[in-house]
Amino acid sequence: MILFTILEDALWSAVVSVGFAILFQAPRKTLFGCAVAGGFGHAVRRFFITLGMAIESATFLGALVIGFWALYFSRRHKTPSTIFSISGCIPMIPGLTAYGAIQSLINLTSSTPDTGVFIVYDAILGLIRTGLILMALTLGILIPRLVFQREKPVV
Amino acid sequence: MHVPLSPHEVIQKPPLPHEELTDVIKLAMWAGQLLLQYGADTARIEETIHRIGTALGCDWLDIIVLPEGIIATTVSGTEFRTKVRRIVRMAVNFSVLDEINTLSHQIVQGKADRFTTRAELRRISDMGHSYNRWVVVGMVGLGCAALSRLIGGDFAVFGVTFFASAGAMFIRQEMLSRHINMMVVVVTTSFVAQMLASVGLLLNWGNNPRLALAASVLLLVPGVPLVNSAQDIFQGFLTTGIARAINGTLITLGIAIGVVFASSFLRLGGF
Repeated sequence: MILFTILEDALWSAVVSVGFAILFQAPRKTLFGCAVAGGFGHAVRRFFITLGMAIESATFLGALVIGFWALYFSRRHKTPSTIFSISGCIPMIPGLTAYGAIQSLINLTSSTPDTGVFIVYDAILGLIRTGLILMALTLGILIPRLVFQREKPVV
Repeated sequence: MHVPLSPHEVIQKPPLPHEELTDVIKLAMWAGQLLLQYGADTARIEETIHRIGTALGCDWLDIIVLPEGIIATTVSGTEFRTKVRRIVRMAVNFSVLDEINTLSHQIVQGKADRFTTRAELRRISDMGHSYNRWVVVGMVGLGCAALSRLIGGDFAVFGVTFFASAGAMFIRQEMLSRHINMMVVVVTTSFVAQMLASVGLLLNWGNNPRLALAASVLLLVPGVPLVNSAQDIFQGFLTTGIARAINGTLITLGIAIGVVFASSFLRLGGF
């Protein structure tokens, strides 16, 4: 059952990655790599979340996987690894969390002091969580590149 | 290995004639300009300009990449040339990055001289989009719809999100082709996506119609500026890194403004 959930997750996130790769005009030969990176990354995140890990740490681990796939495909196709890592990390963007935080901020304008406290709590929590997930995401896809793709400095 | 520290240590190459030196800096900066315009990170831009310049016969290049343009000096023997190249647009096109990467490797391997390089750069500049605009509209719609599945929507939500984000993407393409200000495009697109997705809310389709509202604006997420910004800052290119972070934050704020506008409209209808 859990395997099925994770597989479905991987499938949809592969679709997301390919959709955004096409939005970014990625070359045709890279689309498969984008799908693999995005699918694996999000599936790894879902796996750790089902085990009970916090979403921020799970995102970091998923993003690390994307970073390594991006390095592999960039060597295979001789193309910049950013193409794979940026397209691959789009499924993990905390869209719902950010949207909830904005909605809370809007609701704040029509609140009373009693209800306002909870709305402020929701909004701040949402914003902090969005920021943390984004940081985990960018760090995760950058670390493999910074550690394993050191070219000899020319500049 | 001995890494040369200054131009004066690497004078084994024969000095280039004047017009050739002018040509080399022109070509190297043209490649850099294309990279900066279409979303490469700063380290890649510097490396590519340096690689092309030295492979075409210069001794050394000093390059400064700014958010709006590139300043570079080529050195050959006792002569030098300095040039400023301004970028004329901001977009994302990974195909251009791929082509320039291939070209720079060809130049280093000696497979392309000044003349083939110029012809190739002309071709890459005029390349345009690699995908038909309707393919982009459809795939972006499908991508956002798949995102709505990932955050827990059912197939009714999937359909509404597809419709809303494909429509918003069409509006965005129309506005971008008319050279409307970037921020206006972002706010309008986000507003349109919200209004289209609110159809599901109106008719109460699916398990949670609000998920379609959240997923349909994600076609605007500034993924490229934010990831490039983090990478630039980590590698010590603070100027471009900070500029890109501000750019990404502004786009995010633009999305939020569109959402706020739309939800105050929807509130008139009692939602």
